[in-house]
This record gives sequence, structure tokens and C-alpha cells, in this order.
Amino acid sequence: MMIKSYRLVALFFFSFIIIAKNSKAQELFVISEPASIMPTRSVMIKQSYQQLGGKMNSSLYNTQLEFSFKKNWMMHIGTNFTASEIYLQNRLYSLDDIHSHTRLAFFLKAINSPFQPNTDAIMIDGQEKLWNAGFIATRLDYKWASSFSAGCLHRLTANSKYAKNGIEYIWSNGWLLYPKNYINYKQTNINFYVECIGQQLINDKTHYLDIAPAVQFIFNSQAKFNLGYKWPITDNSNRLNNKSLYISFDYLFFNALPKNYKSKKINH
Amino acid sequence: MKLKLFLVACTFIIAIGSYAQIKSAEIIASGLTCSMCSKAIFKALGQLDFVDTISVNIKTSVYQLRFKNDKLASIEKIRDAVYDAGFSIAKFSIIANWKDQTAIKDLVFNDCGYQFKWQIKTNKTLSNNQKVYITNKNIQPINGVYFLNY
Repeated sequence: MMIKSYRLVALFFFSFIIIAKNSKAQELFVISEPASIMPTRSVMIKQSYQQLGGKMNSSLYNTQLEFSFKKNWMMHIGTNFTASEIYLQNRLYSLDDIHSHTRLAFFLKAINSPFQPNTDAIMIDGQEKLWNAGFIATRLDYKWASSFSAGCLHRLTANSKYAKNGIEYIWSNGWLLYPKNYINYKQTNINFYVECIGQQLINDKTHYLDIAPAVQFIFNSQAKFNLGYKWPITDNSNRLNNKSLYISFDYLFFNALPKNYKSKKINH
Repeated sequence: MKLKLFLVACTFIIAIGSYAQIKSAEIIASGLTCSMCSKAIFKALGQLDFVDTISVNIKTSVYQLRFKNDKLASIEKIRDAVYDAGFSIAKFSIIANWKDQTAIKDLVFNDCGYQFKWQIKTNKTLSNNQKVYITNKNIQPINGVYFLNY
């Protein structure tokens, strides 16, 4: 089973090289956030559905409101109607060039959940109470978009059976498949992403590494439809759900929040 | 009180009348590749009350702005709109009805409601629709002065 997974990953990376040669970079990742911040005063509504699989099957709906209230800052508030999540991201550094950028951001996430941990791995989709903080580094080039984020995970529910702390890391890559040339904002965009999500517990040998390819359709340069599948490449945890089919729809409202036109000094 | 208001209104009208206008601007935005990002800049620029029309080349990230005749265009508001959308400005050029038709090396002058300085090597006679570039880093004025080149 493990050998098959590695073969699949090798096949994916071989495909990436071919895709990367003929495509442009995109960083509107499906699972992770890039170090970029959404446009100031914009609001995004995101509805996602996950069909979880593995040792146990279940489904998960999540509604999220994302907004940028200030330049370099954005916030997400989400709920799956039992657990709730708050996420804050600050862009710390940005170096822009035509069709490329290098950016660094800090993020802080807290999840409040009524559920007790039931697995050694720290579950990050609302299955338990935790906080997560870390850094994101993103490099976007004309043909290459790659983002790496790493952060600490800390369980807030007391349960001596499981380790309290862990490290989570995500490596994301994205490409534009269609259109070959941008002509107007009404063109439907098709993007392809591959993200690797890993976790290593501290003072515990539990770890996993999942791979999550996804296809994204962008309509009218404003609405996104994401379809992806996640499964483990390597996993020694006893997660009940280590596979998931992911579907989400996001809609971005530009200039939705009140404006503040005070001219300011830009520190870039 | 009414007299005061009248005088303020007269001063304002004279002040506007005495300025030459920035007629149009061209911006090359940097740091983006996607149409959603490009649309964020487009929407932010479209919110500016002095902007009449915007034409965009998404592929090259070039935004051409034409301004309303009855409103003063603001360089700061254009700059802030692009930076607040999450991106930077690689090139910012303007076309104006300049009061003086000659660009003189190191000359500091007031026009279009701004203080400018020619950052050029040799003097040049300006053509009617001379495009000039603002060369300040991040389009941030230094001691209130924007540096111009062509």
C-alpha cells in the first residue's frame, strides 16, 4: 500500500514538471493560505463540505467568513455548527516585482470544540479544542508558486493519554491551466494545486504526511469552486479519518467594508 | 458667516482653476499573476471618485486611468488603492497639461496640486501629451516632493 502511494506521488511530481513547463503560477490555494493578504475591505464567504473517510466515514460542513479590515491584516471566522474557529494573519514582509513576489506572514488560529480528542494526532478540522501559530513563506514567480507554512499546534483539552504539542507543516504548489492568455475578467480560470500536509507530535513518534491535489475553477474573477482529495502518503497515527473528498465554494465581495481614505506612509 | 463661506468657496474655485490637471495615468502593478488579483486592483481604482475610465491589460498588469475634468486626481489615493489591494506599483506615469513647457534639470515646481522636481540629466521641451514617470520609491513623496522623469 505504501509503495503504491509513493508511486502515485512520483507520478504526480512528474506531472507537475510537465504542467509547470507550460503553465503560469497561481497561489489561491485550496487548503492553506499563502502569505498574501486578501484585498483591504474585501469580504469572502466560503462554504465547504468534506466527505471524510478512513477507519470511519463522516461528513463535515464548514461556513467561513473571511475579511481584511486593514492593509496587511486579515481574519477568518468559521463554524461547522458545533466547533468554531478564528484565524488571524499578518503580512510581515513583501517584495514585489512584475509577475512575481516573495512574502512572509505570521498566523494565529484558535479552534473551540466541544469534542474530546479521540486520536493521537491533533485533529485540525474542529474535532478538538486547540491553538495553532506559525509562519508562512510564499514565492510566486511567473511559472512557479510555492508556499511553505509551519506552525506549532497545542491541544487545549486535558487528556493525559495523548501528546499535547505538535508541529504542522504545509507545502503548497499551484498552476494556472486555463486560459493560456488573460483577455478579460469574465474568463473562467482553471487552476491545479498540490498540497502536502504533515504533522509531527512532540515527545511522541506519531506523524503523518498527506497529499492533497485539487482543481479550482474561478468564475468572473470573483467566485471559486474547489474540488480536491486528500489521502496519506505516510501515516502512523490512529486517525479515524485520514482521507477526505473536499468541495468548497468561495465568493469574494470587493470593497465590501467601509473605506478610510486617510493617506498613509507605506512601509514595504 | 455667509461672507466667510463665500470667500472660502471663491478661494477653492480659484485654487482649482489655477492648477493644471493630471489628465491620465498609467500604472504597471507588480506582485500578481492572477485575474482575481488584477480585478482587486481594478475594483479599488474604480472606487476613486476622480477616475472616469479604466482600461486594463490583465496579462501585462497595465492600468490606464482617465480622470474627470472637474475633479483633481490624487496620486496618493491611486497609490493607496493599489497597495491596499495587496500589490505594489512598478511604474507610475502621468500625462498632464503642464504650465511650463520645458523640463529643467533639478527644477522644483508646483503644478497639478503637487510639488514636483525634475530628476533628469538634460533639459527637454515637453510635448503636448508628454508622459512622465514618478520615480519615488513606492510612490512615496520625499519632503512632499514627487520626482519626475520621462
